[in-house]
Amino acid sequence: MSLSDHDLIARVLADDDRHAFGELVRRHQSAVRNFLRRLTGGRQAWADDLAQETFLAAYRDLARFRGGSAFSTWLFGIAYNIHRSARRRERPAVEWTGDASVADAKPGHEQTAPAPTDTVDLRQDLAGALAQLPPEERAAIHLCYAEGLTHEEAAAALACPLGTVKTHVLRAKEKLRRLLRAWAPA
Amino acid sequence: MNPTMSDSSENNSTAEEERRLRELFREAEPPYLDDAGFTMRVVGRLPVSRTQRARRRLAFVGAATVLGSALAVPLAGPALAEVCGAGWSVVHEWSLYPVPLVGSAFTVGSLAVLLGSLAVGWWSYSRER
Repeated sequence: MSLSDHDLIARVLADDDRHAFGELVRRHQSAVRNFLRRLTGGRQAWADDLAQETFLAAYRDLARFRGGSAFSTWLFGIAYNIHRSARRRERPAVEWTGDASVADAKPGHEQTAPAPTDTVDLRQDLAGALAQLPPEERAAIHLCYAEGLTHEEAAAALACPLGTVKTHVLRAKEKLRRLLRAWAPA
Repeated sequence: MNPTMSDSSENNSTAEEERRLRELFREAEPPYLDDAGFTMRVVGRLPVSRTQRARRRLAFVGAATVLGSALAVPLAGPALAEVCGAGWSVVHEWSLYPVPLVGSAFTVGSLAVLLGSLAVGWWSYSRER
């Protein structure tokens, strides 16, 4: 029988069990790396570096995890903060943020996806549409719709008020509705 | 148009959009990323464990104690003998207590210092574990 996240965390805190921490990393690395790839707009190498920093920070601060939320939610919060700090250090010219003006353009004038064909196209189009959102909206919509967090959980992960998260999600949905019009049902 | 019907159809439209958006995210769910050595790289970068630090500290204290004692005897032996010789004369002359008792007390005291330093090192190690 596999141990729960809380049992593994208890082992790490009590005995500095590296195997237990490794198991935690193995369980959550895919979700954290995918989240960071969303935040970085698809820059995989950078996202993986940030993911490593996320787990190292989680190890250092593991005693602060109170168990009030899921361990993955706590990790998303750390990942978001690390990405935000990294963005501040990085020169703006290097990062591709997409064209935010397109997402804010009036209906009928923004770039929309071509006719959909299969899941790969959908993934690419969704990734492209999300990349055109500001990082805060991107993070909020990913946590709520891809990871299935409630607004309250997303607010805890992003360390911002509940109302702010709801606003981010609402704005993101507005933009995605226009950008992904090709995927709307006929 | 009946406002209630208008609100109802608007709610249905919003709910339908919500459902469709969730469906899009579900269909476009990112693939599971293979570990491909990621966990190994993270664990390899973890800082030195508290247990390892405590073991190193115990080893250092023990080695320093034994080495210091081992060096002290041959290095300070002649001087100690001279001092002890003079000291024993003084002790013989002035001591209110029997000389063997004084010598025993000195030996026991030295052993106590040696064992005490090892005990402190062990206590520090067991705390870190």
